Amino acid sequence: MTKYGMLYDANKCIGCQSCSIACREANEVPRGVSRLQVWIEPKGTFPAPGLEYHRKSCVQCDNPPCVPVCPTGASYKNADGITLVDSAKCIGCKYCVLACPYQARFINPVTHVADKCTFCVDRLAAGEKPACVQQCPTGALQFGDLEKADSDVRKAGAGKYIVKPKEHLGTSPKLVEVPTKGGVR
Amino acid sequence: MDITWGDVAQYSEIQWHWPIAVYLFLAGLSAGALIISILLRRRSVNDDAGCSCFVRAGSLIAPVAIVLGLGLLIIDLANPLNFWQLLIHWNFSSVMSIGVLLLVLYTPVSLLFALTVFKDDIKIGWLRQIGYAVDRTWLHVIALLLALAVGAYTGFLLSAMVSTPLFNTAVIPLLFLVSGVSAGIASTVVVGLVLARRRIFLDQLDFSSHVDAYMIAFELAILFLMFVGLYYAGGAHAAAGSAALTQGTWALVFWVGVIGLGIAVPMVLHLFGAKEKVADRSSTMARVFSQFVNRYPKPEGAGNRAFPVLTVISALLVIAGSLMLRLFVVYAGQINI
Repeated sequence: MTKYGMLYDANKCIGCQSCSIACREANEVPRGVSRLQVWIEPKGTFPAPGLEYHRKSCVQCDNPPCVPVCPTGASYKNADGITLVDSAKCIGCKYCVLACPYQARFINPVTHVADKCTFCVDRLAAGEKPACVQQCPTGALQFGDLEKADSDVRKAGAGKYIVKPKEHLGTSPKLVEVPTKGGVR
Repeated sequence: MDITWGDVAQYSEIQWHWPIAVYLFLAGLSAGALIISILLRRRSVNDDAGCSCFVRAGSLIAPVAIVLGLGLLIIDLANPLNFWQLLIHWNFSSVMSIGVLLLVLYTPVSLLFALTVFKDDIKIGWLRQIGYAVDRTWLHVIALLLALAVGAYTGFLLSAMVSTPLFNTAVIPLLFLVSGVSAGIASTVVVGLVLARRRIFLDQLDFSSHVDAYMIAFELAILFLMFVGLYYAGGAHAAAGSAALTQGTWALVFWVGVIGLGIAVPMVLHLFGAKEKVADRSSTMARVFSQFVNRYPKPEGAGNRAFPVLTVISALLVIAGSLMLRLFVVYAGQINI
């Protein structure tokens, strides 16, 4: 059993959106909705303006609020700790979309069921990395088994200041962020 | 936040729209109508009072409102044709799934109760026999418990969400239950009075409007607790609470609709409404109204007692206030995250 996790290093991110486009291609995400975006926020003032980068996607909570609320069990966590949607069971009640504190879910306009980042579970089964991680040109995204000390994600996070988004809600995110040093760059 | 790339509509989209708010309202109203109908029936000393216009109205409103509400729930699904999955896959950590179970029990029980009230009007023999067979205390107990559970579950449905500060408060289930009971009583009073064909039991009317007045006073207290609680919870909770009360259309709906028209005016009207009964007066407006509703019978020995206009206006406002409360909570909750 593995416990997949991802690390997003905002210091290495250049906001190129390759990850977002790779995600769209790999997962056939329809227009107008996204499983993944990188938000670029202007910060600071002249003469020292800068940008701050944030990854917006499912953070793959260890304790996901979207799973217990699902009335049919369509929303579930698999053996590798990845939260997924069984589209055959989903009735589109939007309870999970509302219950997610990260706004990481949406109703897919084509399939009419809840949709979200899956850590590219099919690619993992084929021995590949998630599309966003593979596409990232700067190595800002690292992926691997959180329980193995020599995994890419553990090595990339070693000794770094790491933020788990909205950790105070008790969700235990497995997508962690290394925030921009000094706020802007 | 300025976003320089991509369509961000999905991050601020309202997920649950008015059908959900109206459903929450109808479910509470249904539960309230069933509760008052059972209470009036059990307080009755004879069959005549036990089948009065109010008991009949409440027992009919309960199943009709819940069935309409369930219809709204299904049409609001993104995948409505898959709704039957709710009945074959259960997840009792989900308030929605618990709610489905409650409704699966509540809906037939509310129909059974209506059957016991209308059993003597039913021409179909076997149906009438069922009505007689289940006209027992145990049915009243089960129906009361289910009604309380349905009324409260509509609040737990929202309070279970950690993502939304305005929903994630301890008092929402009680608020919705109390507001639902007040709307249920009010609708029972209105429908009972307007459709009355027999004697109107004034003690039942007084009892109903008194309970209703207590309910809206209680509702005001719970709303106060809710926002004070949000304020002291700090952070996102305090911000969402103060934004909900001060910003945009929904703040206006709250102050004018929920507090003003839904609670304050009915409380004042209740005082006059009570006087209206005691003084046994009939205002010009009341006379016009009672001629308009010509089915309204004059109770024996009640002199020129007219159609209780103030009581009806107050009840209609309570119903509207209860609906606006659901709309306010559902929309303001989703906006202020």
